[in-house]
Amino acid sequence: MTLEDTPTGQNSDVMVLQVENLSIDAVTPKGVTHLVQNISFEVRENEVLGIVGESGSGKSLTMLAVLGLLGPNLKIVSGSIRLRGREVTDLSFEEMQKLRGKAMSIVFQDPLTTLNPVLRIGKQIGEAVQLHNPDYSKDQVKARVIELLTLVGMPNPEKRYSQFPNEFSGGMRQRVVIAIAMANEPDLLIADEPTTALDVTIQAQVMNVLAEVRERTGAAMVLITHDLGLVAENADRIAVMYAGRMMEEAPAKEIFERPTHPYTAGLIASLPQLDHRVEELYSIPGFVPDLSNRPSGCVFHPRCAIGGKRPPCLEKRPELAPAGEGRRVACHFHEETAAWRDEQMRKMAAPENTAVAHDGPRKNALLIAENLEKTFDVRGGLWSKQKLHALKDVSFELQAGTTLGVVGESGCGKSTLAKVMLRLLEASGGEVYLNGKKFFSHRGPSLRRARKNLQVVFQDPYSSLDPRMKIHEIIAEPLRINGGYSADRVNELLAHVGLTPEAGLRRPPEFSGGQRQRIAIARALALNPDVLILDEAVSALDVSIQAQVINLLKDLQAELNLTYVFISHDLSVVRHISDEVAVMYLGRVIEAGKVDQVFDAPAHPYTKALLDAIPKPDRDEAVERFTAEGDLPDPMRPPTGCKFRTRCPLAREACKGEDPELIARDGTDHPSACLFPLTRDAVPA
Amino acid sequence: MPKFNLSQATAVTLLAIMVVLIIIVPLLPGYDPYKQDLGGALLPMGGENFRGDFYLLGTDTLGRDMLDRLALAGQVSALIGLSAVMVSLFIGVTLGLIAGYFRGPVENVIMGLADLQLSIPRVLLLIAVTAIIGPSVTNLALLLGLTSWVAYGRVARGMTLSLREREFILSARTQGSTATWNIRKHLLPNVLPQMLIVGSYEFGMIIVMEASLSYLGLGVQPPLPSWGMMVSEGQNYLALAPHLAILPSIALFILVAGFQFLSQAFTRENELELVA
Repeated sequence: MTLEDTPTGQNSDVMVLQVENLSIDAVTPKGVTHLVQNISFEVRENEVLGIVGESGSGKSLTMLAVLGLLGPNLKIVSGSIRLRGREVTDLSFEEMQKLRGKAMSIVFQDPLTTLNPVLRIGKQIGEAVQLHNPDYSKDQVKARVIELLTLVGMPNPEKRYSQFPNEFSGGMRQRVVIAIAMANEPDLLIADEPTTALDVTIQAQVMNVLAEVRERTGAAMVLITHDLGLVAENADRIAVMYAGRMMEEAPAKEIFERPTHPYTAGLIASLPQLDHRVEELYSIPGFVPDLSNRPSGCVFHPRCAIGGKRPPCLEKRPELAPAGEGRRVACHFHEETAAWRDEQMRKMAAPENTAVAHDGPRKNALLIAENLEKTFDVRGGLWSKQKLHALKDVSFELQAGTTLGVVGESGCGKSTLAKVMLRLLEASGGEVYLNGKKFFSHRGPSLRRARKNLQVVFQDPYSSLDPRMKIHEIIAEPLRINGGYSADRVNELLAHVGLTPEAGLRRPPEFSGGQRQRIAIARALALNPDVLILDEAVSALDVSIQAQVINLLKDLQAELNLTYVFISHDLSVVRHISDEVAVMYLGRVIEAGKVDQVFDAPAHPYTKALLDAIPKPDRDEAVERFTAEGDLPDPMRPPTGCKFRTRCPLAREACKGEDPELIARDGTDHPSACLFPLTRDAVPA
Repeated sequence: MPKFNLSQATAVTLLAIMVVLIIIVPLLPGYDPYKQDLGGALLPMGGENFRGDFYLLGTDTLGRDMLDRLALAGQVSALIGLSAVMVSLFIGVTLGLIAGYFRGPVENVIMGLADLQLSIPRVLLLIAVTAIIGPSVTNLALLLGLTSWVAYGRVARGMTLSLREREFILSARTQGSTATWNIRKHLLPNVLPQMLIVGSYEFGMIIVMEASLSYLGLGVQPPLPSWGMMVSEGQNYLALAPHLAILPSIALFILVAGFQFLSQAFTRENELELVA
């Protein structure tokens, strides 16, 4: 079971955590469900183990078991968990309490819910210190808290000490959570999706903080995430989990190049690429199995491209067995993975520049947004009213059958843009032309008629379907509203998105996230719209499901000549699906152009920072990362001049003057709102 | 399938007792809540008059069968309670949905009305109005209904505020739906289950309110009985014949408690649905 060597060579051999043959069952009145089956792994001092898996893979559950925090109906049925050689599964609750926070601690996903909103953060960190150091005096505790705040890179720790969580940004809150977790310098830090709720530039900052505090204390870390790129960059070893079982364990640096399990290889092939275009994403067929009804033999066999229906896969459960240096894999045919992967890579290889197809003489644009403005009145104090500029001078043109990607971090106005274009919010200025006609001047019934050409798919597959309606009725709704309902049309729409008419008889709660998103797409297509606005339409989905939906969207576009406005925070997905792209920051478009231009030669420092912040497995450590510093400025009080200058590593005196226009400047071939745009060849350090 | 649930079981038991009293008892032979028998007045529970007629729950001051009186009074109370709940539910849900969906001045007016309603002591208002228009079962049901819509209105508005931003409504709007469509097809079906919970809770309140008005002589008029009136009549005989006041109180308690437990069971059911 032990590994012969450590991947990076710099780790010590002292074991911090050994999990062996761990199985967890859920005991419900309906019966027993095996949530986690025979998981084994080890973490050494100074080491980072990444646990990767889709939702329901049991990755968080495993670590909750390590902490002794399983819910009342969850039971460890077999296996052992040893912390520094000491068995913890049979410890009493009181004994576990002494370990938690002291020997091991956890950082949860959402810093908003992890912190108590009515306690000052100094007190919250102080609690963690005091719990294991009851004899500390008040001053000692405070001194330690300030030290911790400094450790996690909190500016102004003395002042921050007495502030409440709502006075902190998401990234700063997560630093506080890390400070709490590190309060007693634990041997083991468990980070459960620590950056999933954060923007990508903030994610980079928080991962840096985690790396720094670990370096100081030598703690081992288990990093739980769904993001393969993030673990590949930040972990030493990776364990891949699927449906409660461990599929593969491998050195992190090699996982992208040499995945051994077909599931891992499939996941990697279904990831959109940031640095080049791919023809079509591989999508793992089917869905994650229901854990109360696991497939026989290998859990992955129904979705596997390699094993598939071969007898051993159907009958015999593969054991996690050594497969080369530092690797273990649970697959009967893992030798074939490399060949399959090479074939996928050939298939995916960059297509003949598809963007060129739209480069011909400019036809009349199908969708034009002209100087869109949106301001909100926000109540400041008791009498004062302030204006929040959510959208400022946003313009673009879009040809029929093409896709505009709109990217930006939270608070940049991209969702407001969607709502203004859909007239779910009234614009404060500007105009949208749809098929050459003014869309904003419609009123009442004529607006209702005009709307059918502009439809939307939202992010949340749970709140976008009325839970009390049957699927058939949900898809029929637009037809009924506009007259022209026929059951055949509904079934045709269901078929478009790969669902059978029988699915129409069921209700939304019976469907998974990916299926619901298909239903939402079918509904949006019901009125034969010209334009579909996709507002983070694939962001809530698991990687393998995301690829299915992206491929579906691309197929539908080709088939029905649809025009997409694809709004997302995920740059890789935007690169894959878009022809043109607009980057937004604080309500403005700060860079726009053909997707390859913007991604290969970003002109605006913000775009460059966004691109650099995305975790990459094969990052060249020698090339300095271009990072956005600090947090998003308060949108109520934006800085003078260029809005990005407060975070820009290249800001100069001139940037304070005027907010730069969105125009093409010297050395760039596409417009950006930067006085000193980056050029293709020379990227200043 | 449905697991054993304490509040559900209690509700079923209590309401079953009420069903027996209000529906089965009037079907029994010899049911006559108006038949007076001055010779057999104030019989205790299980007493017999000189003719040997057996009275399970005794008789009242005029020798009327207490069991039959309780049954008829129960019918009256239930009728008033149900119609008042229906009236107030209708008004409250309509106003709440309108306020929550349209926001702006409409909402301010409606919610202002609700505050106004709450700021006037209800019993005083009811006493004043019944004194003017005269007491009757219809008037009582209408008045109780008209003055208790606020709870429904507030809850309906609150739910609408969150539902109207939900994406299924936004997407219906982008498909060209009208406000009426959204309210009827999406908001109402999602709000209604919660309203039934409020209704089952309010039902108990209204029965108690009816009883207090009848106790004051402003509710149901004799010879039609109501539980509140029976308590009021019985209080003069507390020492001599305590069952006159105690029995209607117990009946009142059973009905109100039954509906409280029912509303609890509803709430639990709805919670489960939200989780799933």
